[in-house]
Amino acid sequence: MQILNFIFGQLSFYVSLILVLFVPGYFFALAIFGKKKLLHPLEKLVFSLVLSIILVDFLMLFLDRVKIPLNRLSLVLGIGIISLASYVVYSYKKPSGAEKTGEKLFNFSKNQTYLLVLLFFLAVFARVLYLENYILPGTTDLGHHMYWAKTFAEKGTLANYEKKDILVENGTYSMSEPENISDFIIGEHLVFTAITLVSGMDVISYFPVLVLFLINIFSLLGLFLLTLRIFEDHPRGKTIAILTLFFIGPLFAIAPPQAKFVGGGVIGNVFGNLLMPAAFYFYFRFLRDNQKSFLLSALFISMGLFYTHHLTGLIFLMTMSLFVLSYSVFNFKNLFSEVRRWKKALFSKPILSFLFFAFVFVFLIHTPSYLTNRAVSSVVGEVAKVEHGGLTLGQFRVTVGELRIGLGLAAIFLFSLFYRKNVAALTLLGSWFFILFLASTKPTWLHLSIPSGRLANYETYPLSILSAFAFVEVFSLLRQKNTIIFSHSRKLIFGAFVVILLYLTFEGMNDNYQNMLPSGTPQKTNQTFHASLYLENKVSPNEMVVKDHIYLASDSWIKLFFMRDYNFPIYRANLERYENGIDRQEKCTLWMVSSPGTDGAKKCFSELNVHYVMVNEKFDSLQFAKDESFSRIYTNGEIGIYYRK
Amino acid sequence: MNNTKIILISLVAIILASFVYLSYQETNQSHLSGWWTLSFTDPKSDLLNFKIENYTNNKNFHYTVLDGEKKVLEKDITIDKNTKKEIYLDSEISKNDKILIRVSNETESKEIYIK
Repeated sequence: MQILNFIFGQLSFYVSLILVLFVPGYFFALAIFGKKKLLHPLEKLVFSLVLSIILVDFLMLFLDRVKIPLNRLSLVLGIGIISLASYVVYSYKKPSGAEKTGEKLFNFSKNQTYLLVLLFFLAVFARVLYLENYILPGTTDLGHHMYWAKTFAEKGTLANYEKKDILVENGTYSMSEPENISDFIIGEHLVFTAITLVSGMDVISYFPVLVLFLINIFSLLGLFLLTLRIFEDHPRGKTIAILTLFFIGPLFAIAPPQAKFVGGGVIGNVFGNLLMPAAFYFYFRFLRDNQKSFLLSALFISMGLFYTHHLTGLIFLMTMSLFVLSYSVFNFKNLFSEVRRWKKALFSKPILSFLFFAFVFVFLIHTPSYLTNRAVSSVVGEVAKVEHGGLTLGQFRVTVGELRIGLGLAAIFLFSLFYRKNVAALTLLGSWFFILFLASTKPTWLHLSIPSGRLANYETYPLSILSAFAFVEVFSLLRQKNTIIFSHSRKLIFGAFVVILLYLTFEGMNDNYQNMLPSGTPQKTNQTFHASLYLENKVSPNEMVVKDHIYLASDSWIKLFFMRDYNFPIYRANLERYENGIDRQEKCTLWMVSSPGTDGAKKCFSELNVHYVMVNEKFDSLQFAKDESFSRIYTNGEIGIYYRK
Repeated sequence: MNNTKIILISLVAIILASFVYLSYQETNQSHLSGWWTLSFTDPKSDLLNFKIENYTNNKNFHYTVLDGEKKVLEKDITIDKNTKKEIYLDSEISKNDKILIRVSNETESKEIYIK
């Protein structure tokens, strides 16, 4: 029976995954590109996922706007209509005599094919080894995000991002009315809501981590495809692309922004690292191949990015600004013809139609939340926290990897020296690298207040391409017969090649090993879930619960058992949050858990109507055992629940 | 088979295999194992019924009920793995003081109480 349940769950998950994350994007790509063979099947596979994410987001926002409840029927019908309409558009498109682009580019030798498959296998394998410790969902960020995915699915509508907080007025404590939260962007949650609705699976299952894992894997493929296209004309383009996959895939496979962000549920970054390179891919192909369908795809993905993650959106915007500027400067002699080309494309029927759609969507269907709340002002302006103040060069080096930085800088130098004709590639990769470097080390120069370490993590993507280019270029230069220095010693060159490659491999694999230490939380997570289930049946609608965040495993998931409010149960936060004067204005949650017998705590219990306390028994049971007003009503060895009449 | 097909089929196969493996791991991990729970069935009422849920291989439990310092009840009970048992006490105990339920199996002891 258990096996049957597993098989049925698996089937339902894969069918939903294909329906939500591949079908609409595949048909939409057919409509955009028609019968021109502009994309290779591998590109179609990767961009089907990218386009599907955005289409499903837009579909759900539209359905919600016109008051159609979000459920399995409306979603399946909506996806069906989008796919059918796209197919109708495709079938009316005339066959094109356009040359099959990519035939030669994707014509890998047998050895290259096997190497690609091996690299991909290793990339997945390393991630699986790490993720098996996190597949039972329990990480903090993922819990926060899944609360919203579940809320939308349960309500069938896109509820506002809001929560209740503890108010202190004239010395009296109360719970506020729901107030807006600026931390979340709707696109981070809609895909999960769609899959839970279509499959019927609970978000407290393997599916959220698997969806993030899929997106992470496809971001590697996206980067590989971008590299292939960037170096399409380069004699060693394929080698550069394969080496890029090596640097971003099996090496440093666990460190942020890879498996750690997947297991940790850092949804925005994981999505962003797929969508941003995909947008770059299409802008780059428009610049080179001058097909409007590429520009249309690029604009569509850019729009989707701003509905998915504002931090990635901001990086994208800054990178594109620098790219446009530097491309114009380096390509000055062709500037006017370029402007004419863009003008012609922008005023074409498909692009104008898209711009009209985008305008209507943003102003009439759904305005991204950061435009209507304080999210923009919270990331732009004076540095608000220490971790936003910028990394030192040493910290940046540790975060990104010194060899990668060295190779990246060498790549930009070599690029400008030997590959200047590919201005678009040089300026795009240079801008991508430089903006991230500046934003993570000197945020005040850009007037930003964003976690600098998180920004630096984005750097691994452009640096993987640049490192691969530098590596291939340096050694191909050394191998040339007319290179004076090394002409007498091919063996030395080969030796150097092997040493650097081995060092990089060792560094990357060692990094994987260091990050692989299992957390050992599945049992504790189960105990938290069990205690939550027990309590969920006991708490009446007007009663409150306080829990501890410091010592309880997977505590951010507790709210998913109650589904009363984002801030239910209220919780004792990390202690420094009560001291810094920014995060926590009240101390009720601290007192009720740390010193429940004090007058302050008693006042909090009484005025906030808190009757239950959920704590780790090893760290926080003594203060409740000593207090006559508490009964211990539940214990599982890890978690104790105390009741106060 | 051409190289493109090899790449595409390999990609799908690797992803599928990893997904099935991870899903199976999650199913295994979500099975409760190696611990047991003790709780009051209805802590808001005057009833003292309590429940033991056993997710360990030890099925022999022993419980003691104390009214203040006074031992009022003591019994052995067998609870198979992955089952739960509710113990009804309401008719047997008159609640005057702190009522403490102490349950132990071969390896550990747990307590819950109502004041």
